[in-house]
Amino acid sequence: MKIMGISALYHDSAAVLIEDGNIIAANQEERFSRVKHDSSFPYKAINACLEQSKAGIKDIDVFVFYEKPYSKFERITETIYAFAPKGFISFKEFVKGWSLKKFSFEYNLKDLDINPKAEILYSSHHLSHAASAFFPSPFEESAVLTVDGVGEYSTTLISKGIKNDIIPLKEIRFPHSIGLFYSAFTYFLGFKVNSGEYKLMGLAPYGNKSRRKNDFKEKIKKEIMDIKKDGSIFLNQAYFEYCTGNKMINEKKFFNLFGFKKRLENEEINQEHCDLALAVQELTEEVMLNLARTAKNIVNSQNLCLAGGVALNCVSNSKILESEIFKNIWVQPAAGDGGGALGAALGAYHIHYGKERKLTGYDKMKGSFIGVEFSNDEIKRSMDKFEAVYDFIEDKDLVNLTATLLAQGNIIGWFQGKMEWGPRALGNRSILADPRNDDMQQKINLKIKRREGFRPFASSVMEEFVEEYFSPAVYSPYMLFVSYFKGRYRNILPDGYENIGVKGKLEFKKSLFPAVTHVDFSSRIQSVNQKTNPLFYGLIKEFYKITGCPMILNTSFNLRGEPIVATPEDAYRCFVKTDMDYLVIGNFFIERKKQKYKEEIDLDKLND
Amino acid sequence: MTDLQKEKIKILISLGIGFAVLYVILDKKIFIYLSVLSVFLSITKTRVSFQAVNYLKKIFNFIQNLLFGILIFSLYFAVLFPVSLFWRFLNREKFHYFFRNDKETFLLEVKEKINFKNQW
Repeated sequence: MKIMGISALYHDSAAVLIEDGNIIAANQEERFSRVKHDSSFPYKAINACLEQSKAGIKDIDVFVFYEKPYSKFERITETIYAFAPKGFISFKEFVKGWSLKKFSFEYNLKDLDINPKAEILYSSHHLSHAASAFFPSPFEESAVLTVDGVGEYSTTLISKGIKNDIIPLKEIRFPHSIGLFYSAFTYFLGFKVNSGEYKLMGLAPYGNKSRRKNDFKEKIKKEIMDIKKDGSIFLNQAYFEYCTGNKMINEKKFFNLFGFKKRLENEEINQEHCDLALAVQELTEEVMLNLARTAKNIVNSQNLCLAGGVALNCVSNSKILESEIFKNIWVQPAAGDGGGALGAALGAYHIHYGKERKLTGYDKMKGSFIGVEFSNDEIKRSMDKFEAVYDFIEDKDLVNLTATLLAQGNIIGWFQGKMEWGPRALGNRSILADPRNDDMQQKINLKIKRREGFRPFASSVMEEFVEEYFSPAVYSPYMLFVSYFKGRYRNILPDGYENIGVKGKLEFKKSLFPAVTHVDFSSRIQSVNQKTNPLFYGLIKEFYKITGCPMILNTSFNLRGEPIVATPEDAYRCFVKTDMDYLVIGNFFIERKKQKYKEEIDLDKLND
Repeated sequence: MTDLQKEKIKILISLGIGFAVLYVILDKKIFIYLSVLSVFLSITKTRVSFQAVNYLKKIFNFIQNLLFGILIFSLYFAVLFPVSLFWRFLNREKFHYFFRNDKETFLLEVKEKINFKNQW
């Protein structure tokens, strides 16, 4: 039975194909349309999944949409009723935005010439998230916690997953949403909603554990968000405008409460922004910990599965892990709405059709390498189109040469095998560098990715070395947890470190691996093992042989504001536009200095 | 004929129809003159500049947005607002969940049963 799950029309559209419960292909529309967080119906992603599986659209037996559009419409209508007469602007936008395409999944499928006998099903938003977390997990039974902005009505759902079933138990309903709370402050701190949340998370460690931060927390708790003992929350709607206007917050009220205006996108980040980010992050962690305890009390399991946009907050995930409320935690790598497509398909297979779930002791995500891939022939054709100057390197030399160049301080674009599913580059569409290099963080942030200098980079570590370098020693194959460098690798902080400001903290070398060490000595780690990605593991191992360092800096292969590259063409364009030194794409080795486009980028040609 | 010229003609014919519809709805002669002008300009093909086309388009969009605004405003205040008062009366618990922080918990029991068949 072939089932296609689809998420679309809000943000992060995606398509996933499963066959008899096995994940065959999963792709996000943004990777092909090149529009970040693309919300349009994922025709390109559907085609990519079909090509990957060598199936035709008529071979698909079931199409499942990840949420229930009528139910969502009902919630929006009720919100308009609840806030009238305040919500005229919101109502106007709602009328403008809603079309038949948003109402009807069938209407969108009409363009695809599907099999008339194919069944069309609808999951619900949080059930899709819960299914995406539980069914691919290695657990037979588990508590399942899904937390995001909002789906139909739910903003948080606690469920019990058992064998091939999920039983939804408790929920927090709109408008009380920890996801929307986090997004509101993302907006206030000058980042984009639905994409800048991880910037707030990255900014938080620059905050000082000071009186000001505590004041911010007190003010938020007193005026904006009441946190109940069980992790449920009440959001004071007087401070928000996501129900009534076309922005997240009442800026005047926020100004009156915190004493500074909403930060503009390009405005300098100062200490009060960082302190507020820290306050918001800590409150989010408090809520998530309380919710985890409640889930434990209700479900009484040793295992927890997490999904929903808030589950991409790796700092909060780590707090839950460290709390030892649960013995095991598994997080869906595509925890955001894109992952809903996977959950919808798996949910239909196991719950609706009652199909058995086979457990293997491992998760079913195949290392999250379930996207498109390209053969050397296809890569060669693409490179020839761009008149790229390349060398073909045999398999045996590929890893050795790349590791040597990394050790020499070069920055390398690494494009291999199947594309990752989810927002993290896990070693197949990555920019790689030496983490020991003092200037590497600033160089990659400012010259390669052209993004904010404060943002940290992840470290990809050989799994067997995690315990030696990090505490706690977390198993984190999908980069969804942080850990801290052990004391012997840290540098001693200077006196008055808390008062040296954002720039000072950024410039201070925190550890022997400064490019992947955040200001609080944390690092978002990816534990890499030989089984899930032998080539990438082999590369780190070779780097270790040369340098004695069992980790490399790994960041997603893209520019600021662009999706991660999907095709060889995307990779070459990105390579040419930046200051990367080499591009290793399949077995092709491309050196920047040899490229004709080095000085003047012929964008018309590159954008063919 | 170039693609640009084709695009101009397409826009002008659409505007011609649009202004004709406005004439029928609002019964103001100005719209029929604008409609005739649009169609006339589409016939002259290449001689009309894109600036003139855009100018006509702006007038049309302004009127369209104004009418849309009036329609939505009327719908909101004449229909939805009174209905919302009834809704609040009939769904007090839901309404209070939005605004009243008077409970020990905001976690609710999930009442709906899982189904994949319908859109509700």
